[in-house]
Amino acid sequence: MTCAQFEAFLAAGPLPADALAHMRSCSACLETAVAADPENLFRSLGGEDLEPSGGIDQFVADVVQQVHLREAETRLTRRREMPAAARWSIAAALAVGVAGSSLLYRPSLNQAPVVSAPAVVASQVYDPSMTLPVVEEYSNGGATIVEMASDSDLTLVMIFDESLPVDL
Amino acid sequence: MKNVQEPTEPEDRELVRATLEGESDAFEALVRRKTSKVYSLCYRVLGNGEDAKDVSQLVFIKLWENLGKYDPQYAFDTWLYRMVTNVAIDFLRNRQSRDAAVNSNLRLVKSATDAEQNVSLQRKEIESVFASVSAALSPKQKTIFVMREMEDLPSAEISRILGCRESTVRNHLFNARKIMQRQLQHRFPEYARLWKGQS
Repeated sequence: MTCAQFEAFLAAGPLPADALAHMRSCSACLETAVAADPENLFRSLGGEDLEPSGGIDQFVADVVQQVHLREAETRLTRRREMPAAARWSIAAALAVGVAGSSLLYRPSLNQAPVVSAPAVVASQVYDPSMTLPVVEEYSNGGATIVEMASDSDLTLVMIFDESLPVDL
Repeated sequence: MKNVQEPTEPEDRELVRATLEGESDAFEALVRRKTSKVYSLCYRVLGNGEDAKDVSQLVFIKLWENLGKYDPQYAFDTWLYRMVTNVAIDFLRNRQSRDAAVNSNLRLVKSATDAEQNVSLQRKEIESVFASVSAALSPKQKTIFVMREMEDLPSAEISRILGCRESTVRNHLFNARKIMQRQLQHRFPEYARLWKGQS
């Protein structure tokens, strides 16, 4: 665009993109433009695309490096964090364990202090021929029987029966 | 007049899709393509090369973190510019509250001696004047002024970027011009004379 063409655009009204580009590169036309509309002073600062110091390649490399760093951090954090489902199942198992043991373990308040018996060798306690107590039948439709799943020989069975005496 | 909706839009979307599918080269290409635009807007809003570089990096990291939220039915550049303006406005607000008066003078000196910007003396002078008078604008007013007068974006596009009405953009522009005119009269009377008869 020539300066004469620019002046024609300037007289016509708002400057189109190519006229703005000319104004930004021509000092004489910038002066004319600012005299016509002082806002052209700051408009002259626009237009061209700028580059960060160090160049675009360096900038892109820095950004990509930062992104990889964050990616690695996120991956590590995810690995450290237990999934919510696992956390809930552990909490539930602990709650059931505590509740179950508090139901089973009821020390009598009036019980005489127990004299500690001499230590017994484990082999004497465990007798494979011994039968473990098993609940075979429970005839109360109002009771709730809970059997805990277990891989060992021991099976934990909880019976909730309101008709039984409290001090059973 | 430059519009952010360019014919390259489908390619931008293609790069977004490829990035989301795990192609890291696609993200690199997207950053490379948009660096100049993002950096230029940041530089003009913040008036400082180092700040503009930091904010631009932050924008691209946010872009990577939020790429999954991009809706391809909208122009990618509009979405990107919204991210740029949000981060730049936040940065300006923090900077203004941190060091309001003193820093504007320091910035003026730094801007004028910034060797990284290979610009003419006249341009440097205008940059200094702009940095000084635009310090009186709110971060939003300054961002809108830069997008309209330096990035040559139409008011309609600015309203889409900022998620506000076009009339709001025009109001901000009107107020920004008045404030800058007042600042010029007060601080740079030789330039303010230009406005005489205009207002």
